[in-house]
Amino acid sequence: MPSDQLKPLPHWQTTSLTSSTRPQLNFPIEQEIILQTNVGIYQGNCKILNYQKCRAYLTNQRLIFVRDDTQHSEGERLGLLINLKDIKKVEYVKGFIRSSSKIIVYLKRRNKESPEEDSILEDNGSKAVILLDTTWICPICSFVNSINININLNTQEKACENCGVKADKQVLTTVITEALSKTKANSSRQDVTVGEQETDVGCPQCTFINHKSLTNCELCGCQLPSSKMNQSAVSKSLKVERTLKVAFQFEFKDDGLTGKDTKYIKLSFREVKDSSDKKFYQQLQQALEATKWEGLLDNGNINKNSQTAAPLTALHESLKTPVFGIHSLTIKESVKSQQNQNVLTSSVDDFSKIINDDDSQLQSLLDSFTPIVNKQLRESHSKTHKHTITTKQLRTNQYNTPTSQTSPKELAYRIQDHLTSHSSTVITPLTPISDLYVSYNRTLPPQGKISPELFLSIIPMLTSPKSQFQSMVIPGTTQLAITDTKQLQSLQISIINFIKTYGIPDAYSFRRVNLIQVAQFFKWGVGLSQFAMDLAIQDGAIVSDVGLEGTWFYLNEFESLDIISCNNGDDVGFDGQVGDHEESTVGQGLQSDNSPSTQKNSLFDLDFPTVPRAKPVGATTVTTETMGNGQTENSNNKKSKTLLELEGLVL
Amino acid sequence: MSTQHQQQPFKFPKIYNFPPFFTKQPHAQTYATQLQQWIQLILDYCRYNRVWILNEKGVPLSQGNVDQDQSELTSQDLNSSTTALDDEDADVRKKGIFVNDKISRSLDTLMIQEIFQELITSGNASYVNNKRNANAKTYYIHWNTPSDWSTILLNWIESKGQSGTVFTFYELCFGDLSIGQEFYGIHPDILELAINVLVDDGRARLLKDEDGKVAGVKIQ
Repeated sequence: MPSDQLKPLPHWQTTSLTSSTRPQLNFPIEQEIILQTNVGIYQGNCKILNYQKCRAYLTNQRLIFVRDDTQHSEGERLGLLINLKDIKKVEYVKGFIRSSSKIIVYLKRRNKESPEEDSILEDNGSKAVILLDTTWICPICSFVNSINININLNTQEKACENCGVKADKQVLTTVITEALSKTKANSSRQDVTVGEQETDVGCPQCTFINHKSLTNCELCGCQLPSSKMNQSAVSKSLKVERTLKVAFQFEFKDDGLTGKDTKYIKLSFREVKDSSDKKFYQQLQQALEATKWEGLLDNGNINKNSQTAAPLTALHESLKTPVFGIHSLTIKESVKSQQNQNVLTSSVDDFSKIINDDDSQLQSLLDSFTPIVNKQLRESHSKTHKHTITTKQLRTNQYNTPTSQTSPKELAYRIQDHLTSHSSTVITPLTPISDLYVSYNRTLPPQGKISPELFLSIIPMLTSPKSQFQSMVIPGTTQLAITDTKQLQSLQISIINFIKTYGIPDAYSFRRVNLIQVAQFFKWGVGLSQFAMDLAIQDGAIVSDVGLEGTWFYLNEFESLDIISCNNGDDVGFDGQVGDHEESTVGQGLQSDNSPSTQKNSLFDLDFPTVPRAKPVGATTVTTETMGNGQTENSNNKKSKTLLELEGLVL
Repeated sequence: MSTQHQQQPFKFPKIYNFPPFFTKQPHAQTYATQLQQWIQLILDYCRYNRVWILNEKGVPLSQGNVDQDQSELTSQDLNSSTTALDDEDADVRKKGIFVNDKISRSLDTLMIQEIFQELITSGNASYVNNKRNANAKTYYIHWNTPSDWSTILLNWIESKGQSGTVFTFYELCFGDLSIGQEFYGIHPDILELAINVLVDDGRARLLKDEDGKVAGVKIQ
């Protein structure tokens, strides 16, 4: 079936995918706009057979297709994409009886020589996207910021991610040109060595020798130039006419495009809900317009000669020169306030003029504005965006609304991404669903929050049998928790280590912890802690001791404390031990009679990461008060209440 | 032998002070270990203190050298060893082996029953048929099983060249010949169980008086 005669169009490019088979976006410039599932792709009139059921992602830079039907083997972990800049225009064709609705995407002409591609190095950012980052160091705080090398410095200002001070343009240009020359050198070198280069890769920044399959340095995180994936990125951006990694399987041998000037591809919408195809089309059009606009901006043809107000720009220009230190900051501030004052006085003047004129005139003016205001409320990104950055942000927010536009499956992918990307820091191997819901929703823009019902409906998709995530019911509650099966082992190890290190030695120097300590240390709720400990007990890693004071957890020492009768003669050191035991027994007795609430306080007072004490804690921390049995019962009730409170707070 | 015991009380193993030892462990494998450790502890303790009978709380009811005249179910007056010298032993005698006051832990009754059940199945314990107090469950603890005892008896008789001699039970327990033997002062009921093993093997014959009461035993 794969056709020898029919070649894929040069416009097709590939991108790598994340672990959950979502495309890797060119963060942070690239933003996802809309997603459509179940899309088939045509090149010309010819079906691309292996891309008949895919997800189409529209971002503000590219149109990406990811196969949905098969398990992605390593080689096929690639998404097909078309740069929006390559698109000439789009056309919408309505579905008719059995033929589904389609979007025809006309592509710009591409010369084999493609002079534009070669000119990237001089005219940065005008054409295809180079997926390369370099770093610049903030002169104020010396934080290492990353920057995309094809950023347009004429239109965009870069601020330090750490201290927020805007970067000097001069610094950035030097950094970028350096990086570009490096890339060039690399790519020319790689042309020779590609294929047999299988050795490990030394980091250009810290010289750490990384494994060849890594894309970023293990130590400093900077991008490795000669790793395979970056190679492909480099060669992708610099040499467009390379062979695509994706194997195309065409239906016919002729796509009807040979000899024609305008090449086109078609997107066929196999599954349309609430005219989602039309929405996709609209968004695509808007994105194209935005791209065009940005292209114009990049070329520097817009607003080049326009001046808002001459004095202000002059002031502004003076600000552009690099200034450091508090003195200059104050100057800057005063200049700014001067500007503001100017603007305000002028507008107040205008306003008073209007008021003085006529009331009716004012009314008519107001009326004339209402449609515009309303329109602006409706679509917050007006086409006349002067401040590209602010509108960009607004647009981003609007695009990310998942409730209406995203399919549950896609949401599941996103949540999985969220879980995996944060699993080391925010999310523990055990995450109550409520926590996950909150933490995921926090990453969403205000108008794009998802509802609990929707979230619940997604959970089964996330925890399919072959997934690494499984849901479990926290015992004693109706709460579900998501567990990362890959990390459960490490969880147990960390619990064991926790008991070993921070456990309080009891009268016989067995280390023990209680639930509250666990909850505090791992920052879990009490229910979840109980759950985690139960899991560890079920695996025999730890053992529990249920007594009147509550439950304590010990390491499983049953095996190590095998009974070897010590009564067969040698009773060395027995007497000394007896003395020790009696002393600590007194402490122990006191502790057990103490009200659990005071005991809890003493636990809270306990500095957590202290060096484990060699002496039994019972003898040192216990206060002198003793209580009767009846009081103990009362305080038991109290404890359960506080526990409940805690649970309510934490969970 | 017994004097030595009184000076050096039974030294409980470390695990006896490990609080989870007193909680039934949910993990199956851990529980199996726990059960075995309890059985080992009970047998060690009983062997060391020559405890013949435990009640369901683990309190020794018959201990040391049992006088034949003595009623079997009265706790013996254990003269010297109940002093302050030996806390744990005194506690065990008062509250039973399943209570450890030092760490304020005690074993659940269900778990105790399981331990005794396990002891019975492994042949290391048997019920005491007590007609007077049928409700109180008491157990013979066979730190040497009856067949062990019978072997010991047989070896002793053969080594002393007393094969075929008729002994009364009292002579076996407290006779001059048996001084220093492990079974010196053995609980008569347990001795009877051991003799019964020998009878079943055909190595002993019971001699009865006119009333049908066992008067003596001839081991050969």
